[in-house]
Amino acid sequence: MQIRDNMDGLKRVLIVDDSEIDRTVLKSILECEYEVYEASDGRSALDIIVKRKRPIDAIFLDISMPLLDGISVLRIIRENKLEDIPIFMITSEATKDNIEKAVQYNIEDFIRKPFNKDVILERVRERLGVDSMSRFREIEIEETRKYIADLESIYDQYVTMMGQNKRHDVCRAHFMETLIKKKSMMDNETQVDSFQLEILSRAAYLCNIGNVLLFDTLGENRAENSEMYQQHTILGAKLVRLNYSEYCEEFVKICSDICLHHHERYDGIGFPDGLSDSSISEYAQICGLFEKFDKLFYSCSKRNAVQFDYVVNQIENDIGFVSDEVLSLLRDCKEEIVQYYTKYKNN
Amino acid sequence: MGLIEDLTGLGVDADEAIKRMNNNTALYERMLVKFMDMLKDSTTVLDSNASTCDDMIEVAHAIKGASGNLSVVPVFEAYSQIVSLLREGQLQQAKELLQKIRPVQEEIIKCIEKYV
Repeated sequence: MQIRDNMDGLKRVLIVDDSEIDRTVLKSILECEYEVYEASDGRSALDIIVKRKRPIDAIFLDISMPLLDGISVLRIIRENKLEDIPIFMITSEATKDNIEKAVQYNIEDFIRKPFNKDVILERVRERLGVDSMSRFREIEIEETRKYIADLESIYDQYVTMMGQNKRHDVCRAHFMETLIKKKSMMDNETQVDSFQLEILSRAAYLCNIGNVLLFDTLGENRAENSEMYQQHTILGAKLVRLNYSEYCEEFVKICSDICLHHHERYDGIGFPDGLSDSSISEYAQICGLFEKFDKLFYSCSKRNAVQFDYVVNQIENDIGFVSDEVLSLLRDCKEEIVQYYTKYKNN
Repeated sequence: MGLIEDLTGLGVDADEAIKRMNNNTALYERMLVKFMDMLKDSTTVLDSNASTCDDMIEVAHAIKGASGNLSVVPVFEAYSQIVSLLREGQLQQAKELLQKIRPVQEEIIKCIEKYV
């Protein structure tokens, strides 16, 4: 797994908010310039802050949280003699009471919801400064996202025209994200930052984009062994590679590889190149594994842990389909995957 | 027409929210799904006579924050008022406003469900 270590040297900020949506929006604003950590409640936040395994340079703290609210967290932080950490209080209602309580703990500023991207970045930059390395990264993120949005728009139109739904592609993106997150958690040497995870997830979503170019010709040639169908891998990779921008390089490399090789098999009898063993990237293997897993698991009447084991055993019995490492990674994600699929039980 | 266009037609300022999220349309769509679940779950507390005013404030406050950040303007405006009314102890008026915003909420939920 090729992971760039370009997060080193960035200032670290912690977002503490029980609302996943608000946390995610704020993270998307801050992650261009800072390394972002998240906590969904006061106790987890204190765990990160007080233990200080990795020093935090600034904290964004929501006032209204269940169990331990923002003001209590603020008090405990200050009691622990951590006066040097700038704290931005997040609130959708800066009531007089909240302001009075917060101000006595020497907070940096109030950040209002809905978030104003420019104001937030300006205030944090004033306090923390901005890392020169992150400017390049911002361009890279912006350009890559624009390109992904363009590709997705084309692909989504195709899916709509074909009368298909996006469930399968959305699931694949989630599957990739889940497996890579798990690997990153289990393996200290494989640290994936949020943007790399986003690239992998979107690349997985687009792995069948080559079908767009076969729109008029596929017809009855949808069988997996038909030569026409197999062309979608090559065409998908060619399409994705049409972007030559250096800022999109990482995405283009990963996405074209996934498009081209997600039908390869570990024993070398897949298509289009008949690659085998470690010459098939882990990402392409994960997408290939998803196709088989989803086909078997989604059709189960009960998508539970028992069926999950049954399906994974079936895949294991297809010797040479995928590497043991990737299959084992899937087993490690049982809980997350089963939980995700249960939401489709009524579809 | 796609999800973003349809939502815009329902008063959602999707462009503003996507810009807020660093032009990440896919992330915005993912958050809309979570928001839809949040709206659906909220009825358990907001419609129950057993709920206390504090319970209702907690749920309405969360919807207010999320709808603001996702620029779901009609919902944000309604829940801003609902939270204020609940904080002032005007439960009846808050409930009336909740009933008024429900059809709009349903339209938004239907629209999101259509595309994801």
